[in-house]
Amino acid sequence: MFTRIHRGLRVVTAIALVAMFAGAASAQDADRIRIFGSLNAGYGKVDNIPVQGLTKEGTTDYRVMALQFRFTVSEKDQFVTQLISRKVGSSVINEAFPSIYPVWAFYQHRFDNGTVAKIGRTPLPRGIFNEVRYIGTLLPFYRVGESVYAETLENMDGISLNRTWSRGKWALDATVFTGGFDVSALLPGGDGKVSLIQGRWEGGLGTQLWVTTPIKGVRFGEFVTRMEDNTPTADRPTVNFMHSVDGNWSRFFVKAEATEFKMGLKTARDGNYYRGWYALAGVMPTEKITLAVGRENVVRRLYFPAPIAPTSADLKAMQEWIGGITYHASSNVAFKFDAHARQGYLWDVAVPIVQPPTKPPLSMTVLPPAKGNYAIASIAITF
Amino acid sequence: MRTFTYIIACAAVSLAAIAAPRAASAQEFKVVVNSGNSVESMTADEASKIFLKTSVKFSNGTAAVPVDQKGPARAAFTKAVHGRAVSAVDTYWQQQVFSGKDMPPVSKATDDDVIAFVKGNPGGVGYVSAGAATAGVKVVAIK
Repeated sequence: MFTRIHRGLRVVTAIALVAMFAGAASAQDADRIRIFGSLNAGYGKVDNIPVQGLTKEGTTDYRVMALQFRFTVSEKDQFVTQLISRKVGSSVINEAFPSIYPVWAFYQHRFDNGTVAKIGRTPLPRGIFNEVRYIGTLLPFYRVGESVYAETLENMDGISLNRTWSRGKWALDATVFTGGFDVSALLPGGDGKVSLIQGRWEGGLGTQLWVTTPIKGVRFGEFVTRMEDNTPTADRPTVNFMHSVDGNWSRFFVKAEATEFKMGLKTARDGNYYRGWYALAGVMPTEKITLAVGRENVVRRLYFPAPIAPTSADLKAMQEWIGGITYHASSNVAFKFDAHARQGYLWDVAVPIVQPPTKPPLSMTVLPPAKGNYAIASIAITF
Repeated sequence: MRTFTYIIACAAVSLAAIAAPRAASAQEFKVVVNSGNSVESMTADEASKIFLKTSVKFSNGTAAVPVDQKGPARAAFTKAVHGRAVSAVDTYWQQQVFSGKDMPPVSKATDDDVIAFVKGNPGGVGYVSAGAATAGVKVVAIK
């Protein structure tokens, strides 16, 4: 299913791109087609356990390129497609995606009252960074917070409507959407390997709200969606929440987001399955330099079969400190270095999490978390 | 009392320092619209919203088609109208483009290209250097 949708999208995108260029050639109007691009490329290595596609040997096979085509059909209508080429070192993520693939392919119409409708494969407005998760010049570190964005809910196939209302210094930006999502997650297996599990959730219905406050630079966001997990392992909808605080001033910024997945999995008996949050802050001592620190945290609920008691436990799956420095050569070029200190159970190889009981009392023992550090030096370019 | 006078004096000097560059930069560019457009003036806030595409119409209801430029007038216009640095506006557009929301106005290389664009679009609005020839378009005041 997942592969079929990807193949179909590639065909649609290829046809649309050919049509766009053919149309522009006949109209001799280059202004109708605009092309934007981004490169986020780096070198990274770990000191201990492989993570984020990085190994002790280090790798330069670490980049994301985005190429976006916008075709202006009329004053109110545009067709937009964005292609991505992504390499994540030695991660299994590489096996899941073609070397180049369309992340978006949508038609956009602006109504007279300012409402914008999008139909097709569209970016999913979810939190601060979801739509720009690969655009290095807009990110404080090489990549967005794994704790809340991970590898999932990046885009949706369906329809979205967006409108902004302003009153004085307050503003409400609201997007409602319905459609289906590709979902994926890195899960450790019993063989010591981590696999990328891919699936499809349909019947999605949700909203992202942003409230801009009279305090200059401060806004609050709230995202919620429900999705039907049609796999035999689920028996009810999954719900995802995201809460965001975003403060941006001329010389510093603070951002914090928290997400929670209440899964429809039969095994997730009380529905609580995953909670993640990050907080980061940055200061710009000069126009060219940004110093940033961040903290990430993931809690996953583990469920155990009877007669083990208790039957569930919250696992501190990942905790990470991040420090980074960015040199902005211009608004389109940035050089970054970020260092990460992680502990927990989320790595590119499976690490032991619990020790099953061998004798009464029948209770699981959570094993100590693994620890490791990694660093990434990168360059980000947009045009 | 002397302290109070000192604070007032400092505040006045600071305000003058803030106001001076705005007044100076306001003279370094002219905002132009199509000669058929009935608009005579705009506030800086109105102009900012049109060029950032958060507003798509002039106050008279005409659909606005802004055009940007790469020339020296850009820095002065950006500072006076948006109240931000050019790099901040560039970042704003990166955010808009790569979140799939919108794209920046078409950008022309020279004042002459901007004038030609505005002439050719009934809703055209652009800015040019203070010394640029503006025959065939209407110069509007920024209040």
